Formats: sequence, structure tokens, C-alpha cells
Amino acid sequence: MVPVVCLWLAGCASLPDTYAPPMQRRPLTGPEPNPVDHYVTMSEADADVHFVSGISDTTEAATWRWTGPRAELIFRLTTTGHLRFAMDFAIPEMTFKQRGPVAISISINGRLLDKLRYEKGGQFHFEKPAPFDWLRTDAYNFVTLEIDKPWVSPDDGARLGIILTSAGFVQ
Amino acid sequence: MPPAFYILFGAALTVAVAMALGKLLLRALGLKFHRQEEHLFALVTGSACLSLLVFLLATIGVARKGVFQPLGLGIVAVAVWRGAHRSAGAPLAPLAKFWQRLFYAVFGIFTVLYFFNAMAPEMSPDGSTYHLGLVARYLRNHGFERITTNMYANLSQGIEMLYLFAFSIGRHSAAALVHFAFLVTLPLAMLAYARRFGFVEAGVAGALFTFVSPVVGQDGATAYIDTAVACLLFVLFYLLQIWERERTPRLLIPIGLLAGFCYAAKYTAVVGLLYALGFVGWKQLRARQPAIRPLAVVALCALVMIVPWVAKNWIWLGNPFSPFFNSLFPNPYVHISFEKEYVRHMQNYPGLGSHWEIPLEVTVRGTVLCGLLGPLFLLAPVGLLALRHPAGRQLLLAGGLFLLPYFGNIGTRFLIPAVPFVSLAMALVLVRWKPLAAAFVIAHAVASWPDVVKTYCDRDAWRLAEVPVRQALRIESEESWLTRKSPYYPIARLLDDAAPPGSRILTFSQAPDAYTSREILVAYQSAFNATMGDILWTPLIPEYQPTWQFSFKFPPRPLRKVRVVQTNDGGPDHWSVAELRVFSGEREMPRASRWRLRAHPNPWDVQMAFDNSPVTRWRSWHTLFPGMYVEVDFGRVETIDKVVLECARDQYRIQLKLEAQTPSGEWQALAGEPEEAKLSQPLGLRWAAIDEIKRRGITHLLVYAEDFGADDFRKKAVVWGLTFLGERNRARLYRLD
Repeated sequence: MVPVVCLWLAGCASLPDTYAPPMQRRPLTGPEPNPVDHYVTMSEADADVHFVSGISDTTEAATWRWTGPRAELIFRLTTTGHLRFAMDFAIPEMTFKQRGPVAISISINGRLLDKLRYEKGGQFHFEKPAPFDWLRTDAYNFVTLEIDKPWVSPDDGARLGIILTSAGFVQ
Repeated sequence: MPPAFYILFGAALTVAVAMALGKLLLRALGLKFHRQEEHLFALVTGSACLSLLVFLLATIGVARKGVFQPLGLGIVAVAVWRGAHRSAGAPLAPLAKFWQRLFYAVFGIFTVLYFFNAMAPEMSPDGSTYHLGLVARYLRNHGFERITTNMYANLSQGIEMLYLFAFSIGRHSAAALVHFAFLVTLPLAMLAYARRFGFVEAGVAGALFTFVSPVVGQDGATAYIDTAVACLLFVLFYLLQIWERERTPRLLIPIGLLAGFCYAAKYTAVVGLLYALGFVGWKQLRARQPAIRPLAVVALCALVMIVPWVAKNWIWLGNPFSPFFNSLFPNPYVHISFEKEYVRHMQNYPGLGSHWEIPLEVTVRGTVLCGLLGPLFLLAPVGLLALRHPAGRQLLLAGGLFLLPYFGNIGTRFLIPAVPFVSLAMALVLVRWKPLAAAFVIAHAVASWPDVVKTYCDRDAWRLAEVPVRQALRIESEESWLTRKSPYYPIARLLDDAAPPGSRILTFSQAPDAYTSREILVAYQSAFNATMGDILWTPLIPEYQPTWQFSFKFPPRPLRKVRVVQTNDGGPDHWSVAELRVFSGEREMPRASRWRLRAHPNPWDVQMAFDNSPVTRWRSWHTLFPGMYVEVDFGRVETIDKVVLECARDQYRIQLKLEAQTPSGEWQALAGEPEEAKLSQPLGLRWAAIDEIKRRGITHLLVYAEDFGADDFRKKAVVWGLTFLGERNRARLYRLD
């Protein structure tokens, strides 16, 4: 009896079954506001707004790009406190035969944050606090990656550094 | 006053009021029971009355401590004044010394264990989220409010009404102690039943089999409801057995109330009502006596308890049994697809290799199905031998019926309603060798003590781990203990500290509702929340983005309506339309206010296919079936020659056709197969997604490290338009800018 009564009562509930067109959203004609932000992932469609120099135009496997021996990126920050510079990258094992151990110098706005040395290939994650007084919110922040020994591609002779997946500042 | 006082007072007053109401009711009906039974039946039937009373107070918006406390004290005073506290019944048959000592020794030790766990700060997964989260919300609002964004608010909450009474005075632990009261009542009721019907030793053993079972203790010492439900079902069974013997017509009134309260406590406990009706009807027929009147009494009394919950859902949600039966009662608040997925999920817990693993999982391991009954219950099939005993047949029939809902949710605690019956059946068999039965009781008790359980169960099994005396007495503060032990509590503190009052926080996983006053919307808990999740994931999942275009082209035609119909059948795809555009020549027709939009199924979201936003889409929220459609009524005759759909690619199996209504009102198939094209990936989706969910009233986002997209929110917060506010226990809170 209860289900029958409820069925009947619920049938009385009135919700509209037709609707007027809603408010129209503005068409999206470009990337998000502030396309240059605090972090870049190579898979993003608009990742190249963060590149100043030394990063390949081509995204490989939709996730990574080669850097050159010296790569420069820009980032825009809304705060400078408690930030860490983070980077996901890889160094192919096969490149060590040609160039031996690799050192990567990471600089922020011209100041050396760290110098990393790798003797074997692999995937790596780097993360280190960025001193707040090195950073600025009123202008772009420049991050430079310098690889001491480039790998020369046997196919086209391109001088390549590391495989970069993402980089930037995180809290 | 120390906090412990309020906790104990809140729980004690709730139990006392329930007992007082029960005693007044039983006395008014002139029912006579044995002395021990009077207290048990009074507590359980009185709980039904108190639950209903609190429901009514919450409905009229006066659910507050200032009302509950004087009202409760008044009810207790009236009961005392009427002499209801004095027992008139004769005592039950005495226990033999050995069995008495055995019972009270084991019962006493485990009662202490359970009491201190129940009184310790509440941090159970469901207790600290929705059970007490909703109770806290009702208390803040002084009653019910229309909640369409949390499916747990749609469930019947009869036990939570008792928690609301206790919570108003002693907060979370007072509620857990009310559940503890049911936990303690259950074995006492089992023993009383056995004493009345003449198998005392089996009663002792069976009651202890149930009481010390690890999952029963764990559940009953928190603000869950399963043990209370088991207690209700057992007392219902017990009263029915008495009615069968005595045939006192007035006994059918508490039986009916209790049967209805089973539904009010938990939907699946409606089996209690079915059992009561079936039992009374069958017994009357067998005795060649009219069944209509007694059945009507039981049904009407049950309806008193059931109708409030049914009506609440009907009025507010259009579905009297929400969040289930959404196909029968379509509504905008719970998606049909969610219901199906939820039911399937409850029948197949992740981590369970096959259903053959269930016996070991529910008795010994305890992680995958969340709790363990103890190894003793590997012997449960022995209970079938009790079929030779008349009481055994009754127990196994009821236990079998109460076991049925388990197949809808295979978590261990969903076995609890059947455990008392299985326990007594096992005990009826084992007591043929009394020393053996006693040995089993002792072995089961030893194997169920926390220090022993951990030696054989899985490391992460859901179980009691210690006797937290200092925490129960608040010698260690609640804040300190919860911060150390609860994964949720620190997150609640973050929400209260960083999000202002009135915030609506969207999250993808369970969140600590019971310890924050901020409104939390969990993505899977309602249709609205799921739509927010869909919008938010669109920038992250390329297959969700509108990059698949279908164009229906035809010679210019004057038409009144057009309708795109989906014709394929089957899952797992849902049909969705991000935009439906209508063209006349090269010009897209502006969406005029006279247009009327319609969709089937899920008509309520049709506007999302006409809002020009690439992050919103109308979704069927139902697997494909022929006849799904999205329709535009132009409100007058328009000459058009093209209809374009922009769709996501996560719907590989859709097949579309176009139909149109001519000026004469006739529906015709129009155009042939649509032309397909690939659209470029829209940019700016993150910002657009945040803008859309902001428009819908969301102010914050709580993202756990394990959530899909957590890394992107962290690294691209600025692009999303989010401000990071803080992190606790791997959960990050963002404000929508």
C-alpha cells in the first residue's frame, strides 16, 4: 500500500520538463587569463608561453620536450613566500655513452639554486625551496637550466640537454 | 562541568527518556512481561517513540538542546510519577551459577572495552562524516532543511534522531554512547529470550558469541547504526515469539511500531516489517483465525513510523525512497547511473578477488570488507543443525530473512542483523556438549580481544585496537587525540579556519562533515555534485572536451521543432551534448527566449547544451537506449538548414538521427547520417570550469592528494583561478577566486 500511495503522491510533484535557453557564456577565444603562471607542464596546449629559449618546439608523446644545452623559462608568481622550485625530467641512459656524467645548473633570476650531477640515466624529480628574496611578483621570474655537456643527436646533429616534463614553483 | 559529564549526561538522558517513553507506552497498553524484559522492551520501543518525537521537533524547527533537555527531563519525571520505573513482572528463570558467572565475566570485560571506546572522541569513517555530519547540521539549523546535495540525508535516519537528542547535550561521543546502549541491550535481550523459552545455556553462549564479535563491538562503539538495527530486529523477533504464545492483541501495537522503526532506522531493515506481517499472517491462518485485523494493527502502527520518512523524501525530492528507485521516480537529485553504479560497487568491494573469499574475509581478515566477526563464525554452518529444534527453526528463518539485504552490500557489518540469530542457532547445537560450548565462548572471547585479534587479522582490519581510558575521560583532550588519530579531524579544522561561514566546499572524497560547520559537497553524493565534478574534470580529460562535431545538413525547411535522437543501446557510454546549434544559411540562429528546450532522460540539465560553454554538457546520466533525445521548440516556424552538435568523445557507441516537426505538426526524419568533424581542443577550459562551478554557488575546493587531477590543481592553481589556502593530511583547500 505504501509504495502505491507514494507512487501516486510522487506523480503529483511538478518539475518543469521544458526550459528556456540559459544565459549565454562568452565564447572562449584564447587561453586562460594569465597564461604565464607558476608552473608549466609540457603536455599543455599553451606551454610555450613559458619558454624563452632552448626548448624544443615539438612535444614528444604528448608529455615531454627536449631542452637544449641552455634552456630559459619564465614564470609569473602571485606570492613569493614558501615556494619550492620543482622539476620533473629524465636523462636517457643511452646519452651517457657519448657524453658521460651530466651536471645541471638551475638558476633563478640569475642566482644559482643548485647544481645537480647525474652519472646514470633515469627519471628524476627535483624540488628545493626557492629563497623568497630571489623572487618577484611584479615581473616575470626567469629560470635557467644549463647542462654542462650536451648530447649530440646522431640523426640530425641537434645539441640536446635533458627531457623536460614539467617545471615551476609550487607551495 | 568537565566534558565527560556532558557526554555521559547526554547519552544517559537519551536512554532514560527512551526507557521512560517505552515504559509509559507498555504500561498504557497493559502489557505484562518478566522483570528483565520490561526494561529491554521499554528501551527499544521507547526509542521508536523518542525517534518519532525528535523527527517531529526537527520538522517544526525546534530541535535544540533548550527543548530536548527540559522535554526529556519532563518525560522522565512523568514516568517516575506514574510509577513506571517500578517493575511489576516476575523474574525470568534463574541462570545456573556457572553460566551466570561465565556470562557476567565476559559481558563485563567487553562492556568496559566497548564503553571506553564509545566514549572516546568519535572518529569512525561514517560516524564522523555523514551519520553525525547530518546530525550536527540538523542541530545547527534546529531541524531539517531541504538537502539535495547529500544522498545520505535522503536515507531514513531513525537512529540518528536519537543521536540528535544526545548530540545536542554531549556532542559526538554522547551519540556513540547511545549506540553503545543498543550494543549492550542486544545480548541481554538474547539471553532474556533464551531464558523465557527454556534454553538458558544456549542463550548465554549465543549472546556472548554475538557480543564479543569484533565487528559488532567496533560498530556498536561508534556512531554507526548497524548494531542498533540488529537489536531492533532481534527484539521484534522476540516480541513476535511472545505474541505467538500469548496471542495478546495489544502486543501487536509495539510489534508494529518496532517493525516500522526498523524501516525508519535503515531502509534494508524493512525486512523486519515483512517478517512481522508474514509471521502474524501465517500464524493466524494456521490457527484458523482472522488475519486482517491483526495485520492491519501491525501495518498501521508501522506506518506511523514509516510515513514521516517517506513523506519527507516525497515532498523534498520527488522520490519517497531516495536515493534508490530513481528509475521509478525520476528526479534531478540522484542520477540513475549513480544508483546502478553504487549498487554494483556495494556488491563488489575493491580488493575482493572472488566471492569465495567472503567467508575468510568476514571472519578472519577484516580489511577488504571492513571488519571481522571472529574465527568462531567459520563454524556458522553448524547452526543449521538447530533446524531440529523448534526454536532453532524460528531463529534460522528470521536470521535467513534478515540476511537477505547482505547480498546488496557485502561489507561485514551488514551481516550484523543476522548474527544474533546465527549465534543462537550455533549455541543451540553446541550446548549439547556443555563444556564444549563454554570452551567456545571462552575461546571466542579471547580471540576477540583487541590484542589477540591483531595477531591473526589483516593489519588494516576495521576493529577496536585499545582501551582508550584517558581519551574517554578527556584526560587527553579531544583535540589532541583526534589530531593524532583521525585522518579527517585536522582537515575539518582547516575548513573552519580558512573557509568563512557559509562556504560551500566541493570535494571528490569523503570529508569530515561532523567536525565542521562548513557545507561539504562530495562529488558522488548527488546529481548536482556529480555535475560539478564533470565540469571540473573537463579541462583535465581530453575525452570530456567538445572536440567531436556532428552536422546534420538538409535543404532549407520551415520547421517548428527539431530533435536529435540517439538510437543505439547498451553501456557503458552515456550520451552527452556540449552544444546544440541551429543554423540558417551560414548564420547560427541566436537562442531566443521563446525557445523551449527539452531532453530525455535527465530533462533538468538540458540548458547545459545551450549555454555556449565548452565545459558544461547535458548528459543522459544513463547508459544508451534508443529514444534518448534533445529537442528545441522554436516557439514559431523557423527556416533552417543545419543542426550542429558539439560533443565529447567519451561516447564511442552513440548513433544519432535528426527528426523535425513541420508547421503542420507532423514529425519527420530529416537529413541522413551526420557529417563528423574534429574540433580543436578549446583553450581556457580551467578558468571556464571554475567560473561555471562558482556560478553554481561553490566557493572552495578540497582536493586530496589521491584525487584525480590533484597535481594539476596544485601546479596550475593560478590558471584555474584558485588560491591555495592550506594543507592538512594530504588534503589541500583552495578558494575559487
